[in-house]
Amino acid sequence: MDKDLDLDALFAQAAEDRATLSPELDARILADAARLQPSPQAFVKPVVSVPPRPGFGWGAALAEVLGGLRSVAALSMVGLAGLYLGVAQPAGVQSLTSLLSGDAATVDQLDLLPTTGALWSEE
Amino acid sequence: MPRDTLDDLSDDTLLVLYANGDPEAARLLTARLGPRALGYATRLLTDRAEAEDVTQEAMLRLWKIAPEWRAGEAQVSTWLYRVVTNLCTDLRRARGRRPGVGLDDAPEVAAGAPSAVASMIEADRMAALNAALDLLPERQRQAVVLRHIEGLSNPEIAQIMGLGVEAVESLTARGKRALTALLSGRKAELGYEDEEEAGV
Repeated sequence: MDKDLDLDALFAQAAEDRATLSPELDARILADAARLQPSPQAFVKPVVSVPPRPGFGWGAALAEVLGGLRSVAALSMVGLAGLYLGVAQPAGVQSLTSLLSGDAATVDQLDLLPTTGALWSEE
Repeated sequence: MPRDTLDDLSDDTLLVLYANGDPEAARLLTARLGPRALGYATRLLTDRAEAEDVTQEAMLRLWKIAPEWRAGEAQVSTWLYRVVTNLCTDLRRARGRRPGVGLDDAPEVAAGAPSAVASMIEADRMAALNAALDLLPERQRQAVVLRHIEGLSNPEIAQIMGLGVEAVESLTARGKRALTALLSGRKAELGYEDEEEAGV
């Protein structure tokens, strides 16, 4: 009998004799896997809920909708400026509104800054 | 992800899925790689309990490295065999067995070795093979088991053992010669003489 053939037959027999994990070992390995497995949540940006600021009520909510306190301040300034122009009716505005509404018969020259005319006078 | 959709995936891909939090990937990897690691460790250590500890430790290291694993750079199974090899080497040294022998100092089997085997080996052929493997120098045993029992290629074994392919070929050839010498004195006891006489 050929010695190498004996050995090859033994190797083949050993190769077929596959090890199997006992349930206990399988459980130990899987317990390690579960303990060390990165959490899927680690890859998701966490959602942070911002609590409403206390003491502002609906005003704070409106400010949030309009874009924050800076936006509210800017809107307030624009609103006040509009109110002033509407009530005080400066001369420049009157000329402009007359022109746009057609009250002026002819307009050769529109003086938007009447009070600054003296600056251009040579006298 | 359902298990049947994962069955066809490579070990590499499963490891990436595990790192991304898929629990089913861990089950499949354990089912694929656990028995291979255990079988190899058992051959190297000839102690089931120690082999189970080594298998658990090797798989634990796999779970730990999963988030850093770069798919395509190495085979997961090759990496695992290497870890098992190193763990078994450390364990054998720690428990005071014969220390590992370098490739160059690995001795050929002495003329009286078969009689030493005769006092150790079991009645059946597998036990005889395991006992003979246990008598081989460490590197020869690793190379022979990986090549002839685990069925790996020489380049794979070279990668696992950190050697060149030629060195692996030399180790396996010397290991086979040593095993043949160790087992030849046991042919009758292992039933080969009877088969020979019966013309099997």
